[in-house]
Amino acid sequence: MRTPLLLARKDIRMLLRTRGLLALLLLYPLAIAALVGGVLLQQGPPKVAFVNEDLSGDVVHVGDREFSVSEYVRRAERSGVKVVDTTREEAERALEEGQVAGVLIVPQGTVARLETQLSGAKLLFLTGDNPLGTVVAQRMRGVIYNINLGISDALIDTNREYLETLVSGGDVVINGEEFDLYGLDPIEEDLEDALEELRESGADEDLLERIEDALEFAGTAGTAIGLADNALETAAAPVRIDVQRTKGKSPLLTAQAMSFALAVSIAFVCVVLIGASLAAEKDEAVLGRLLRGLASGWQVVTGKLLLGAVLAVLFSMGLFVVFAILAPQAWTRLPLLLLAVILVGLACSAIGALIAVLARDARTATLVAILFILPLVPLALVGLDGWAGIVEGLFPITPARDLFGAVLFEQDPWTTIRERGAQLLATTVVFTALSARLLRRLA
Amino acid sequence: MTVPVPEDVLVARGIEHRYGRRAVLRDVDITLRVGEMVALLGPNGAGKTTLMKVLVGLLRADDGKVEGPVGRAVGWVPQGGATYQRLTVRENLELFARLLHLPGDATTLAREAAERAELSPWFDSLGSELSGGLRQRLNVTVGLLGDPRLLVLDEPTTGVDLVHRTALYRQLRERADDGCSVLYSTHAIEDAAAADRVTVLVSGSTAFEGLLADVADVLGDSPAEYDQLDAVSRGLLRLWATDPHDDEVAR
Repeated sequence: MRTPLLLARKDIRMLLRTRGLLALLLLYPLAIAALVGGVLLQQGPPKVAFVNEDLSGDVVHVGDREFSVSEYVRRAERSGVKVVDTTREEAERALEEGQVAGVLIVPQGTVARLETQLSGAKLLFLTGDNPLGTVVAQRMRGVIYNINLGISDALIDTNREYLETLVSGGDVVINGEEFDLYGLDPIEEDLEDALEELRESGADEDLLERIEDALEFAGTAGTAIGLADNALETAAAPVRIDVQRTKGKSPLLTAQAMSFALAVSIAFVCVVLIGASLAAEKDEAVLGRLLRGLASGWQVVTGKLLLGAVLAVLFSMGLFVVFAILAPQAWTRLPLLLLAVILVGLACSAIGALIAVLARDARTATLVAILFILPLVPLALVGLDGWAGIVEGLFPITPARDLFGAVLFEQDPWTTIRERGAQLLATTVVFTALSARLLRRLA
Repeated sequence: MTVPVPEDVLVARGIEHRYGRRAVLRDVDITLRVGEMVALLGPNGAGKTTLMKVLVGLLRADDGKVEGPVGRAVGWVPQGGATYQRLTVRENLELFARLLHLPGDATTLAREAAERAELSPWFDSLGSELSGGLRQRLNVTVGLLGDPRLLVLDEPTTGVDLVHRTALYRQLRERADDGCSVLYSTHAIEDAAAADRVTVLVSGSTAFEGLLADVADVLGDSPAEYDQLDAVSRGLLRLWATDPHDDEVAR
């Protein structure tokens, strides 16, 4: 490893002396960040389609209170989500095309379930299988929490009224039917009067004992119901949310934009710079000298990969700082991000090395590297399916985009890290082996 | 009293090399003795660079045998500078000393090598700041790191003026006197004059091997435009104009 390290250190020293290139390396990420920032500002917050399938409307009556489900859903706009009213078909189509990040559906019978309080209601949230879907689903859970809070407040107040009537007596309406309740307190008073009169009249001891038991029950029940008031305040949430993942394109928003910008920038820097750097050694005839006993093809290419990894880390850190201001949650994933950046840097550098080996000189290598990267950029943006997708996956931009997306935004990123990491590692090994083998032949 | 015969450092016999179907070297023989300077003379495209790459192990011969030193015992000086322009003279020499795993402090080795090559005034200058002659001197100095037994130089005087050219051959002669065998390629007769022997390569085959002065022996009838040239040059031009695969050529 000493030889690759010596060669990489020499390359870094030479790079630091190439001021024009260094300036470009500093300005390029800022330009990318500005472009992505512009896209983010233009796009605005993620959209969620709201579909109310309950024909009885969306106003829930609990006791003498009423509240609108849609009004609570709209409160999500305060947390950076735009809510759009639409039909289910339209909403599913919009989700499929990536126009919305999720669809919140109020199924038929939801209002009746909430009003009768016989069982909890269930709302349905559809979202794409992408990091943004996770973020929006979290925000929708916040919305549902607020709906639950509103309903439980109303239920608690109504049930308190029922219990107070049960204790004190009076009129009460349950499911639209009016009842006249006598009340535990009046019963207790009546039983005390009756017990006194019976004692005075010398009634049977067994009868007096039974009335005393009934009197004790009325007193205890009244006290217990009084305590239940407090217990009701800690009532559980009556509404749950069921998040279902569906296939569909994700909109270009914070998560996608950041992942895409990182992937494209590192790919450009590593493929172009490593390609040009290795080809320049061929131009200056140093490569022939190195390969004659000073370093093997593997060591020369590994040195370039190390340089690529260092460049990728330095370059992405500048970009990362700009993005982390936009999305602060990214800071918590910094160690994982470093690992991902190194993996992507290695894979892209290996491709740059192969281009350099195959190209006649540094200028050709630079041109070929740019021509190689350019068509991959829009493909990675739209995503391809089937065979085209498999071929696209052989090159690093799409796997890099997915890896960064998972590392920065997914709650459980390990599956994506394993799959995409293995893909990038395989790209590195294959392209490095090809470069090292061909290098000696073409030097 | 018998005069000791210097031992052979490099012996190559029947070297053949092809690029695809095109034969570049055909049955080439070459021998170098200890402390000897040999010039490999030939026109452009004669196969000089290919032969040198085969001799230093950069290319594998398709046929024939090369016996000689390997690894650090062979110094290789390629065409075109072959040093890093964005590193200083010191950094270049330190880097190659480290890559050669030479014992001792790399900076000390670099300083000593620069002093010996009279490069000390430019020790901290970037390669890009050196003149063509100085850059070539650095190239040769890198090739001499580790005191190789055999130094192979591919057209070391291309683009170098007379002053630096003279200094370069003086440097090479000093090394040869110290026991290092030197093989260099050129297409200029004045460069070949610095050598003890010349091997003339034409169309991938050995057309002449011996003293430079003896090249004149192959002179036959020559065109009138050769009259202004000296006998050696005329002999050389006659050799270069001949296809060794068609005619019998004096060796």
